[in-house]
Amino acid sequence: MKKMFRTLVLVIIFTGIWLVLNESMSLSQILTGLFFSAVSLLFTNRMLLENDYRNTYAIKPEVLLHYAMYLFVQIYRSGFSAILKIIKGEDTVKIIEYETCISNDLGICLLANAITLTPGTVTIGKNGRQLQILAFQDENTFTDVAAGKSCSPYEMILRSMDS
Amino acid sequence: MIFLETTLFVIAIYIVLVLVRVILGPTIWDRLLGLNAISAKMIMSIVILAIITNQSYLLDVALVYALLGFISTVLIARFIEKKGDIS
Amino acid sequence: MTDLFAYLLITVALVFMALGVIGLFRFKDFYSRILISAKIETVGFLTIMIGFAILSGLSYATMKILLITLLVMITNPLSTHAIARSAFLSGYTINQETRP
Repeated sequence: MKKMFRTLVLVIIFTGIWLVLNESMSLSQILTGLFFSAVSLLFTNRMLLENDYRNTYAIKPEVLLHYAMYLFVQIYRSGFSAILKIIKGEDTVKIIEYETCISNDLGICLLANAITLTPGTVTIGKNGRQLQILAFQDENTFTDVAAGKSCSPYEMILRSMDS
Repeated sequence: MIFLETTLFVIAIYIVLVLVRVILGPTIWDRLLGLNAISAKMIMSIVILAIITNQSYLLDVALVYALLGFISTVLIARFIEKKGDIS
Repeated sequence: MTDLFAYLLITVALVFMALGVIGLFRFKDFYSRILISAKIETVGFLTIMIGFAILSGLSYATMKILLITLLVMITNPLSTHAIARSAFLSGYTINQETRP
């Protein structure tokens, strides 16, 4: 029952994107949208993925929303500190070795994406749970965490993602 | 609406400046970075054009441009990383 | 009133992008260039797209602009990551250009 419900949610989201792309809300468009969403979901499940779609992309929508809101605030905060760096002209960089405390593969992927999206830090390598982060010399979000053996705020949010 | 046309003009100036970096750029990765920046600015200018002329089919062009820019950047970066050995 | 707010957002985004272009010329090392310029780009893109979405009112075009923004927000870090990783794996070391 729960599996049926989650597939239905995915189909409804895909139909919404189809309607936006076609710019109409008529009944025939909704029917074609439902058909193509179901077919593309089935195709991805059968051909492209090794595991099931629902297990590979298992994340709660409210966790994703919370994460997106946090990321939005964080992007602007680091954006303003990056402007100061441009004006002062600091250009020494370093590479941080960082071990995450989430074991989920999708979670690590989302974390690396968020690190790259925030101004001032770029992920350049991933080996299991080890991430290599390129950052400025005075960047301290991740070095403090590596010294104190606790999780960064990003990971505190992502930890509750499994549904 | 004169504001939007001014914005378009300013973005065009930025594109020319980034192009100077692409031509000067000492390493090939600088040129790739410039390609990425130019693609992002092109998407913005296509969206401005769609708003000025009030024709929403231009937004589909912007969507396709975003996908193509992403794929070309990743492909060239992988090609250099593997030293041309794509198998 | 909302139009004025949208104009303000677009102007702020233009200032952000100007700083990104300045950073592209000011820094001497490739790694600091990629840290600053491509990421200031992200902030400018997000701001200017929100400005356009407010400017075009509530219609299908707005939804499409938001869809483009979401797509670029997902793919932009991936391409930056690909460029930085390509430079790193090819043996380009930190501060190579500024070292005497």
